[in-house]
Amino acid sequence: MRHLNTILRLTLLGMLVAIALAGVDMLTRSRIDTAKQRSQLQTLIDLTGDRRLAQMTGTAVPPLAVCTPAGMRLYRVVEAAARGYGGTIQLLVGIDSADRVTGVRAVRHSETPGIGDVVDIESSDWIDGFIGVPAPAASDLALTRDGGTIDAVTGATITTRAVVAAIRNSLLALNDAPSQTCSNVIEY
Amino acid sequence: MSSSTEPLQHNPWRDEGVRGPLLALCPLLVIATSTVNALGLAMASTAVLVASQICMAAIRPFGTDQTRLTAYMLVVAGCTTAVMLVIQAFAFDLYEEIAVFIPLLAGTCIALARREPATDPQSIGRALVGGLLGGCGFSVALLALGAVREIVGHGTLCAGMDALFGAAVAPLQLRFVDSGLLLAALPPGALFTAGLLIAARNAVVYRS
Repeated sequence: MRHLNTILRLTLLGMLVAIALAGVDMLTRSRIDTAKQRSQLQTLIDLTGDRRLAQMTGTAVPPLAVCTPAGMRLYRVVEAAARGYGGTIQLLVGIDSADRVTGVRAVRHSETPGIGDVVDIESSDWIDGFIGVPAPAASDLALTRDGGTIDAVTGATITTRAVVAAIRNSLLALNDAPSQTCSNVIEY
Repeated sequence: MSSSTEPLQHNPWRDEGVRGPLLALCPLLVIATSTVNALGLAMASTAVLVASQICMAAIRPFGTDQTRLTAYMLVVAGCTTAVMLVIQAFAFDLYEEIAVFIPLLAGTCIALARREPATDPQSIGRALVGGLLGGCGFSVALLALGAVREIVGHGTLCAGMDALFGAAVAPLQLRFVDSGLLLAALPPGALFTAGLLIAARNAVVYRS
């Protein structure tokens, strides 16, 4: 009987906590969604260097293709995944209408701080070295020490080589599928 | 261990008020790499402590001795989730940085409850004071750790405060040197720094 009492009390408390949490969730949900959307749009703006993307409607989750209302493609943003030194490095690559890379960002990585985190824009602008790379010539993309044009970083060969390979592969995949449909439209 | 049944007699400097939580804080030490992270975590843990203590005081008449610790765990878990949602809504950039570590606050608070009368506050007013004092102990320890690690690890102080308080406070940032000692910014640096801080505190307390 005493146990039944305990169970009843704790069940009631559990229900109260659940109701309170549902209330907090209701109050914060729209604000959280707005903040999340703004943060994703900021990433897209960083990738393309085009502030007008802040006006973009619809999903901001890559892969996506941003077009004018007339259907002309302005930017594509694709994902790339590299096997770095500390695990998978998730990258986003922005490409403009002339098929040139407008920017690359590592959105998630666990590379060694101070060494492999050159891929992180917070630590180094190394990743901006990909800006302007033409997608049709992606097969030539390589580190300088491998005969390419991207700066090699001392101490971070595995990381940087993996990132270069991941970007090369995602650009090559893009060349094979050039007619990606528009997922987002902005007034140009 | 000093008697701490009376939260109002707490001296967070002299008794275990700082050192106890500092050990309970071990899981949180790692992410306290900068002042802004430390401040965010300090505010979150104070909020969780105060809210859970007040809830426990409020439900005191309905609880029994058998249910108290389980009830406290339930309440702390609920408060932690609520605080997490609030941080996400009002400081999304900070949330991105410390998100993985916020749920650990629940463990910290429960660990603290083992030696504090947190599971059995007498009244709501006393619960508020007790929670605030406990939170202050946390905050002092976390902020000291975050500040030292930011100065040594990155050569800055208060960088990135805009993630918490908006762009107006960005000029508060101080920059001493351009690069820092990497070790202080890595997780082991947290333990080294915490050890040195405890040693410094002991040296001061036992000399006087």
